[in-house]
Amino acid sequence: MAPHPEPGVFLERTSYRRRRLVDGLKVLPLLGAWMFMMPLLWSVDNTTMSGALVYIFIVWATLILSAAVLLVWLTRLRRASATHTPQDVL
Amino acid sequence: MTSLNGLVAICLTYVALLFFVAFLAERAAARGQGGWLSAPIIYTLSLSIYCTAWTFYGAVGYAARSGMEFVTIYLGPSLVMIGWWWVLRKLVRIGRSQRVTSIADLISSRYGKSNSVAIFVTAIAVIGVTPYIALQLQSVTLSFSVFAEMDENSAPLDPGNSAFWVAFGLAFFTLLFGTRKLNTHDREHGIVTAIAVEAVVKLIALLAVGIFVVWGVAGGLGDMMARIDASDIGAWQVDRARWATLTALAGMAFLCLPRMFQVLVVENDNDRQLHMASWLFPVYLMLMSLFVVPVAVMGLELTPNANPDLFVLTLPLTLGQDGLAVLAFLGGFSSATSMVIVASLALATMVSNHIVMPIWLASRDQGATVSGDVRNVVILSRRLSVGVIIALGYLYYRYSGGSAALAAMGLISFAGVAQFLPAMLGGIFWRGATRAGALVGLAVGFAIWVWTLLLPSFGPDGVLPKSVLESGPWGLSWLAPSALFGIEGLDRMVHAVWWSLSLNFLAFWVVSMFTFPRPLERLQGAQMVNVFEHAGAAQSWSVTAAESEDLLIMAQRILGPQEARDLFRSEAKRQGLGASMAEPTPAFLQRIERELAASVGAATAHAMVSQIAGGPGISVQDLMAVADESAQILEYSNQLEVKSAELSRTARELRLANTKLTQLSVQKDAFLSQISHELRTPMTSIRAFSEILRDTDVLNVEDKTRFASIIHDETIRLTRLLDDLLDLSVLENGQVTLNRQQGTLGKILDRAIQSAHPSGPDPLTIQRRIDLEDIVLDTDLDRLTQVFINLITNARKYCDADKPCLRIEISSKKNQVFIDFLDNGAGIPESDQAVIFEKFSRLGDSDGSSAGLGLAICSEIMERLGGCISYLPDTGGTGFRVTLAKVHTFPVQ
Repeated sequence: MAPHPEPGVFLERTSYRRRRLVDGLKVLPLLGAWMFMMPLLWSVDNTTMSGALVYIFIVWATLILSAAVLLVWLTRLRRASATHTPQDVL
Repeated sequence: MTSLNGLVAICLTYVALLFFVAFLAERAAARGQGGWLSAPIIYTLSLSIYCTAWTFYGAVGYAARSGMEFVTIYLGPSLVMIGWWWVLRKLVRIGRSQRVTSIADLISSRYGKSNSVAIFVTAIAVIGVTPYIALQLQSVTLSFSVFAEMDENSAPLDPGNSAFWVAFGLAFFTLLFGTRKLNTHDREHGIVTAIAVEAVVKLIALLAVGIFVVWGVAGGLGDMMARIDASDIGAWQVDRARWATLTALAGMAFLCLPRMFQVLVVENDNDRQLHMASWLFPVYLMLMSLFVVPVAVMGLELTPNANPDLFVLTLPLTLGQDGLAVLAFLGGFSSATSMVIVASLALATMVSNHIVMPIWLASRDQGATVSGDVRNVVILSRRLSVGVIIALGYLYYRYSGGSAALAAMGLISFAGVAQFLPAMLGGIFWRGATRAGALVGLAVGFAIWVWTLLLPSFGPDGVLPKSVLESGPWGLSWLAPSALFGIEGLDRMVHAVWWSLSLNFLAFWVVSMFTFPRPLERLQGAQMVNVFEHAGAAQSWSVTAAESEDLLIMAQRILGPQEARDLFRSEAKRQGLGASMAEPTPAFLQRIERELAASVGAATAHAMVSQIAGGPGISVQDLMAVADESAQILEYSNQLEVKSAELSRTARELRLANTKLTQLSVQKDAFLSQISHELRTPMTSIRAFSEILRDTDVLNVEDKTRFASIIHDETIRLTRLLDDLLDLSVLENGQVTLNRQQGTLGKILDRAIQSAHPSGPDPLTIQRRIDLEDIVLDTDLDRLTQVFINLITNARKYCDADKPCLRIEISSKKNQVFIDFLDNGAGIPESDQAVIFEKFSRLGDSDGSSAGLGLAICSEIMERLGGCISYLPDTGGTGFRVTLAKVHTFPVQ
């Protein structure tokens, strides 16, 4: 980020990014549901319990991590632009 | 080996510790040092009451029986939390802005603060959750009995007895720390902190057992994985329908369980709490379920005959890890107690606000205006409700036999409270949802839930006879509880959840579509659906018959004397009234209602305020102002109003124009007939005399001359008439060009009198004031002379006095000159005064020498000259006044 960005460009990019991050937050649970329903497609013969266990927990952790990252990012953007725009997206 | 007595001692020590922590938190909050109490981390930990003893112990048992399926109970809430932007964000915002006290309060508040909705929701919640409380008592009792069995010295435990003491202890703790404050939004710091501690304890306990199992018993992760695959549950077997249904059900129940609603929505202070919980709570859930399968597999391997539900306890005990077992016991104990405390508090708030208080208020004839503090009544009713609910849980445990029927109760309870979802989500996302829709939806869902899930859960011949369970009542197989509409082969849970929720949704939607909401419902609907657009509350009070004193008395009863006075003082300051009493404005009524609602719920608060304010008067404007669709309608109607005003204005103008045209047409007809008459008279005589001249041979010169001069006179008259007509037409059409000149009034009058002078002797004497006539006029002098000539000629012609005399008087005022022509004749009758300036109006002119156009022409001329001519009544004769603008006031040198 430039040390003295032009307010117009800065604002524009920030609010755009913020909206996309909110889009991400909205899609995340749907993505999660899709991933969690994946085991329903597995065949009984080729799947081990340990594999299923690992899959579920990896998906779970990834989902949580993504949610946290998106939120932290969003909060930072909001703070960065809080001085410029009164509108509060969060 | 820890003895049972030792365990009881540890347990009591733990409880004492919790008391101490709660006490410290209360003290810190009282001293104003409680900022950390609303930290997001505390909020997140308080959500952990989702993990009850049923999940603490039961998850392992569940995994031992059906493999991975247990995880769905955690996946649903994780998805709901991760998707907080969709539902929770709105829910907590509404919870804060509407000061919601419970899920029943939210739903009733949405549907027009209807108490019937609140009572219905409360009843379903009590029926659905009481067995769940029984389940907690059972799990604590079971965990005690595990230790009792291992302890050779102690007598076998009486489960009923120990359950009683557990219930008693829980009720005591809840009453001591949970019902101190009336306002449900003032957090019960003691309870919240104790629950946060318990959340940490149960997580550590389960993780400790898990780590011990994986790294202490099994040989690390790899070995554990191999053991899992080799175990009874090692094959991947999942009931697909159950997997999807339970994930969804857990997510829905997470939102609808009264205790979850309490910690998620009611106790939420700010969005920051939700932000952190949105990812941290899923982490908590994930950690809680991380070691469930390993513990289950190890339990199955090492103690195949033990109750899988208690593997968490029996595994450490069997392996001689007493300390770990005690920790696990405390974890389970924590899960059970925190759940019972919050659930009973949440239910007690609902029961007290929506059932006890309305009845108590109604039973008092004095209504809401009577003085006296009712805070104690509210708190007492809440305390009694806590006691009753825990007692109900205990009784349920005693009489259900505490067996397998109870173990299934967790999911059944989930399905029961999930019935709130259509009314709740529909209410906050859809403006069209109505009270009738919510009630019918709830009733349908509840009935199906009772029929397909609750009643069959008591087993064959428990409540329903076996025959009914299998083939439906009265042999109606399509009503069989396990195969509604003849669809068989579904899992009982899937079947019940599917039918109850889908028909609930359908009924809610259809009834909402075809019913009409009351004004308050529409107002609340707009408020909640558009909660992010409307920061403030809409006014639901417009006219008030309320007295400030009555309001103060009522507010004192619920809020307390000091708080109520503070509220009134701040409102008076806000209204700019200084030290005097706040005015009962609609905004203030709204504020009072909101404050009351935080203590006794929206429906009761609304009822109390309306007792004083004389019913809510929601004006159409209020509704329209908050409603988008109504705002559009308002705009359209405004536009229509403007258009219609425009139309009516145009119509009025058209009507006027039409009248004018009609009048003109009548005038034109009259004028034409008049003019033909005027022309005809001289023509007739000209024709007659010219015929005589032509046809008569013998005519003496005298006659010939006489006839010819008649013809001549008539021709002159005709010419004059046509000249006048032409003149008038030119004047009327505005085609006349004025020949502006300057001249004094005296000179103009001289010329006029000279021109009007007859050839013979003049009987008319004219009196003038020469000294006043030195007024300079800037106008068309010829035309003005024409007017004067006309007036003088008229006086000469019509003045019937013996000695006719015409006075010409001059006066001036400001910039106007008045020239009055006054004779001493008979004057003009009043009835004729109006028409003398009309064309062809002739008064007493019997000889026909005048066409009656003179004054009409004068009037037209004066108008062109920027002045006017009028008749002066009551002058002792006939008087005309000519008004003109003057340019110079000084006499000409």
